[in-house]
Amino acid sequence: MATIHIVPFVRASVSIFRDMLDLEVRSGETEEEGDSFVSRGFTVIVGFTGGWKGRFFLDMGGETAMHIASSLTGESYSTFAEEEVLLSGAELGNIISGNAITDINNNNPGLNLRLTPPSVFAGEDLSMFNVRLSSCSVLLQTDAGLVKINVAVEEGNK
Amino acid sequence: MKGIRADGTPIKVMAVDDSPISRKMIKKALEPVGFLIVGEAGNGKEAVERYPQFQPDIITMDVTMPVMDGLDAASIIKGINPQQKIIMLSAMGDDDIINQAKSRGINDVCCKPFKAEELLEKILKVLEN
Amino acid sequence: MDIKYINPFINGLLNVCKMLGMQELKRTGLSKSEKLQTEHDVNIIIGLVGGLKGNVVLSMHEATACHIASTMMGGMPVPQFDLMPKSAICELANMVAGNSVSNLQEIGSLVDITPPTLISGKNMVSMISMVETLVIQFSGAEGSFDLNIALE
Repeated sequence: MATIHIVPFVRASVSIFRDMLDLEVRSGETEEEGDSFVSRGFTVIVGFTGGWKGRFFLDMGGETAMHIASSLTGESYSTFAEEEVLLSGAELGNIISGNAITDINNNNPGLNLRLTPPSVFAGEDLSMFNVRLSSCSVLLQTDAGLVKINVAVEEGNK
Repeated sequence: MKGIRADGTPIKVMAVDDSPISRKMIKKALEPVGFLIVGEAGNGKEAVERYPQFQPDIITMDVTMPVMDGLDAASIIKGINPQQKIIMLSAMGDDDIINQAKSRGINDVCCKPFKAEELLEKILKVLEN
Repeated sequence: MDIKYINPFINGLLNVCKMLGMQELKRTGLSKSEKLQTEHDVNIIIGLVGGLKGNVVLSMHEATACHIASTMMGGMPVPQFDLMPKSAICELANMVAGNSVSNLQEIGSLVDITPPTLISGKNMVSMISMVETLVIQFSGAEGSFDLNIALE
């Protein structure tokens, strides 16, 4: 399965976790994911079209999401459902995917990837399903918890 | 403190970004060193409308925003006041965006994620010129 | 939000659903919301890029999703919201989006769409867009659902 799609997103995530959140990524296992995965409770989704069509997912537990929001704003939060926690997730997803897409577009002239606005979902028994998309995940271990990066791309876009 | 001028007055900043979190991060980077955030806007149209009342020394302007983007807002504001200093902030750092920013008269570009140090140094450099 | 961009979506949805056997479907309401948030347990999101930029979300309760999948499968019973009804609902969303894009093209708006993603869960809270959102309510024999359109 093509891991070329996920590499720029992992690279962007690692540097942004370090620069924006002061979090070092300790390790990253790769797994091939089918067309669906179960969320840890908090997921940021950014879509892309152009030469490649698909979705980028940033998935984590509620505690990790609150930690990230606190790092960005300096405030503390009691639940991941608070608006600023959701917004922080969206901002992180936006910046990671923006950086990744810039990288991809600069290295692949003509590919012209464009991003949709980010969306955030959080809740219990949360799961994601992408019809006809093959995907690849990398699990990042950080001091704030596990964060899964998943990139799902439409078949035929390789 | 770097955000305070020799005469004791703070440097006035207007923060324009559709993400309230991003605007909070800009405040968090600049207020502790003495800058004064005199106003905010959530899109280019709001920026153009509120700009006259805030009279900032410098504007931090996001690029991708709904209703009106940062490039168009910058063009309009520069049209009203060609001396207005603007720094563009963007998660998309490709050459195309940078060239477009230059052609609209934007004074400098800072990529997201930004380090507080980097942003304030760029602001000070732009204001010096 | 310009109404001329909304009708292509409404017509897209009504045309596709009718084609799939949902004969009694009607538009029952239209409201505006400051942002796009849903509370339903099944949400299918499609992103738009190009002439129009934003997100479209089809949102419904699990029971409705199962009934719609059943109608799409010629009346075959769908007792659980598992892989088959999930695929069916995604295909529905994809067709609605595709149809809407053709309708938009006819009025001169070129839009590119992302593949659909289905998000399901309980006690969900979401933030899909911070822009003004149009919520269009539909109702039919299978149940009721919302089409949320948030354009930047």
